Amino acid sequence: MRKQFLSEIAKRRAAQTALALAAVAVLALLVGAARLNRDVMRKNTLLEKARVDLRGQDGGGRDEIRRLDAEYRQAQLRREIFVRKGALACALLVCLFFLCNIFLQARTLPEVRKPGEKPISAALARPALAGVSGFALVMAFAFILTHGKVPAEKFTPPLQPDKPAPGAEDFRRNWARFRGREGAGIAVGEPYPTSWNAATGTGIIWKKELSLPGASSPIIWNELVFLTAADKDSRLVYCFSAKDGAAQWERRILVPGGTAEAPNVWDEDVYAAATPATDGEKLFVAFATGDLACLDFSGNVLWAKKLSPRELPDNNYGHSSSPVVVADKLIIQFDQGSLASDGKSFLLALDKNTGNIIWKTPRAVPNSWSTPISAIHAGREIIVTTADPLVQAYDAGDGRELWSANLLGGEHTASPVYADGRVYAATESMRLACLDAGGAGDITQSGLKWEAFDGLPNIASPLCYNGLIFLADSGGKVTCYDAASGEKLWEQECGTPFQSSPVGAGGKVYCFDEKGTAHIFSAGKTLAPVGTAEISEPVKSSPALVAGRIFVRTKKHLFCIGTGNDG
Amino acid sequence: MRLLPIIFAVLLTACRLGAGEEFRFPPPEFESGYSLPQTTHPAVSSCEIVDIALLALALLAAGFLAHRARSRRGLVALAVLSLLYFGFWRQGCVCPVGSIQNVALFLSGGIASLPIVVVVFFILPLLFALFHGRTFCAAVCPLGAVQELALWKPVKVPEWLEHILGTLPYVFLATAILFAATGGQFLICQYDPFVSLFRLSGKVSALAGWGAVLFVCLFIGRAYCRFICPYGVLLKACARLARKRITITPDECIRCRLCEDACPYNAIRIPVPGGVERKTAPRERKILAALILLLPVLATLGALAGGRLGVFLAAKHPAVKLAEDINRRNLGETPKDNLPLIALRINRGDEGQVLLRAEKIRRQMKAGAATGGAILLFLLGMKLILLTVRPPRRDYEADPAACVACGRCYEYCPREQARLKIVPFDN
Repeated sequence: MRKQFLSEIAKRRAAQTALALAAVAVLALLVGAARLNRDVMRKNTLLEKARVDLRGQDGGGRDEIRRLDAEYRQAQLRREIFVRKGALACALLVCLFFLCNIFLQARTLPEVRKPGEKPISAALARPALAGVSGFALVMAFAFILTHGKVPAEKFTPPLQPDKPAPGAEDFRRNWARFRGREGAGIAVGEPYPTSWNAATGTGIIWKKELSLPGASSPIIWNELVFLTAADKDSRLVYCFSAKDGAAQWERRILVPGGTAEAPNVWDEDVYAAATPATDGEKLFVAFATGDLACLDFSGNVLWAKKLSPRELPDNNYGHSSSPVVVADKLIIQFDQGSLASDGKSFLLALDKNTGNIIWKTPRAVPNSWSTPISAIHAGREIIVTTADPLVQAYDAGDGRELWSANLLGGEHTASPVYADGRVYAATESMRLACLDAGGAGDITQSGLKWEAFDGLPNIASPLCYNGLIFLADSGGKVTCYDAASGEKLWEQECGTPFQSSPVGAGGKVYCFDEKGTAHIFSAGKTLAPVGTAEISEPVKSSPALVAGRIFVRTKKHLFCIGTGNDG
Repeated sequence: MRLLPIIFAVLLTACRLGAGEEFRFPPPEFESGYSLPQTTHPAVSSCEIVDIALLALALLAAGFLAHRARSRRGLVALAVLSLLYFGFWRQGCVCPVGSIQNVALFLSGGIASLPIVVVVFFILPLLFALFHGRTFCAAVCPLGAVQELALWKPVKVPEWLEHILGTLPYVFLATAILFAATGGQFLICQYDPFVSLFRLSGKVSALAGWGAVLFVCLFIGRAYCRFICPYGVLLKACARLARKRITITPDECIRCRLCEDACPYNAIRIPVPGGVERKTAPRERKILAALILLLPVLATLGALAGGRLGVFLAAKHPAVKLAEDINRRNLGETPKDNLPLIALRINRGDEGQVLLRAEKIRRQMKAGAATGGAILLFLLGMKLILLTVRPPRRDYEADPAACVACGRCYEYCPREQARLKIVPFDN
């Protein structure tokens, strides 16, 4: 026989005592917690009543609500502390019982049945199981029958009056993507202001402070302005009223998965460098982290994904290319890697309703920061991209490459423009190239109409307006070429570098320099400065021009400039 | 036996109470100047790596103790350690039982990614069950450990009742998967009876819940494992195929019958003589044929009933509840917005989208419940067939599916006593 530390009876008594104590403790805990719970409920009722009674009252009313709210929270906290302490005591007693029980679980040999005797319960197993299951099934059908056919009422949203899908005219008068319709940077409609001064407030209709920085440009759809902003940790989408700048909503974008790291950027503005795009019904936003999201105009996220699901985009300055909507697709130029041979760059077409990939075409280029454009050329929708060293055109339907030209180089940021069957692309270290958009294969030689080498931009994209090409370079110079021949017509030193792309409106060209001075010229073959106007804050984004108003984003503010404070 | 009705009444009350809820402090509704901290993605915790390593180690140790060492004491010691670490220290999360829901949600496309720790916790115990049987239940699962240690005065559940109650985990598993896959609730976590014990917190109902379940487990061995645990369904399926099964005797069964009633979990199968008595043979054959023919009928009935009940089940889904609130409000049945509707309005939610989503969920629940119903009744038919075809059994054996490898029966076997040299044994 093994020697036992405690007798069987002593162990049994200990277990019984621990169990009884645990039971008493649990009961005491339950009673105490129920009492405190009643107190919490009572205080909650008082608070709710005060909320109703004192609604709209300032001063005393608000203080009373705050006092009751504090009391309510204190009661919650008292209950929480009591439960924690009580549960700990119960758990300790339960563990003590466990301990005694471990030693108590001695063998007690059962009575042995007579040979051949079958356990009665086993014989009943089949009929009992069949009987109970049958009964349950009958009860289920009886329930279904007595409760009608099932709730026939369907959840259907109330019918909205048929709203026609946004058409060409809507896109013409709005500013739905980076640089507006087709990425051309050309506004239509009313005359646009040519003088304003942010310091005095002249010509400034409204100005809104932004909580986070960014280099992306605003877009406008009807009466709403959309804008993105971000820092190392968060990504935001703002929606303002175009009329008076009233904040409509602000949505923080959180895309699950990926890494929590932030891209290593040279300037915090580039966390949000990509401009949003809209199809008139949904909003698409992208950030340096490769986070991509689709929202409705109420700010609800419809879908969100990471362009690079497991890591940050392999991009020196973070992903900056803006999304572009082409029919039912969302086009993303996702260029990555230090070398073209890294094979990490793609042109993606996503289903704009779901975010699922429709096609994905590999691109033999390293990381770039330019935004693609789309255009109808010879009856076919094409997408034109620029990067180091290629200008490329793709079929928007299936993503097939149509042609390419090896004409660019360096760190490429400026986007191309399309006009009258030609594509214009410029890069600071190489050239301004004019290409025929209708070629096939390698059109480096065959498609090149003309090239020029003066006033080449670093970040600002070219503008093709009134048959002229305008460039705003990083040396602070504006240069004008004839779009047909490539002849240089004029140039003007402005003194401050340009990052913002020039825009054309009302026969004039607007170029915002880095200090926030707008240099305005007549869009003619001869140099004709109209004047300058001041925002007095650094401008890196491109302006959006709609209905006689200019929307400009600076590091900390969004400005709406108009003719007079006509609100 | 007389205690049984009381015990089951307590168990049912405990289930009704719902356990896993914890206190939630709502943020103030007025402006207090306090800016809410920004939510960030949690970094991968080194704890998770430790969790995975300890789970693997514990499973290995449980396999060794149950099969090689045949040590009940070792298994109890391991159960205590598991209870302390996976239960009280890690507060019962992540656990393989709850991981079913994460996996269901991931497979249905509700979430984009699944943490590696969840994948491992879901798969590893099942893999081990394929080799060693339910050694996870024996000494690794904190829920099982609580019940194992709580068993004080075992009351035998009659076998017929055991079979009936044994169908409940299948129903719970199907319902939990349905709710998790449609992005509704994590029912398994919500009705986890011991999470508030592990976290030393919870609402009064949650505390009463674990108290009641613990009371039941004083008398009915592992009541939660046997009659509720949905993960047990998967473990049972794997354990049936296990390469190595728990044996009551270390070598040869001498049919001494000492172990016959040793198992408080009804997992010991007694010898069944070969063949069937001549008188009953034709009747049994007829029943068997009828059951086989009934299988497709049962599956169809299950699909019909499930499909219909699925719509009622969907009414418990939070998104469907919200849509019903919107409908009631639109019909003027409720003049005042309730809290979910207020939250929807404050967040500028699109009610149209909510209604569309609810309709989609209702369709999904209907289809899922129809499938689940068909599978459940098909399995029920199979169970009845297995109860009819009782293959001959020579020795006393532990049922591979029902046995939780607790090791209680070892000491009842005189061959084991002889192996341990506790008593001399002479053939």
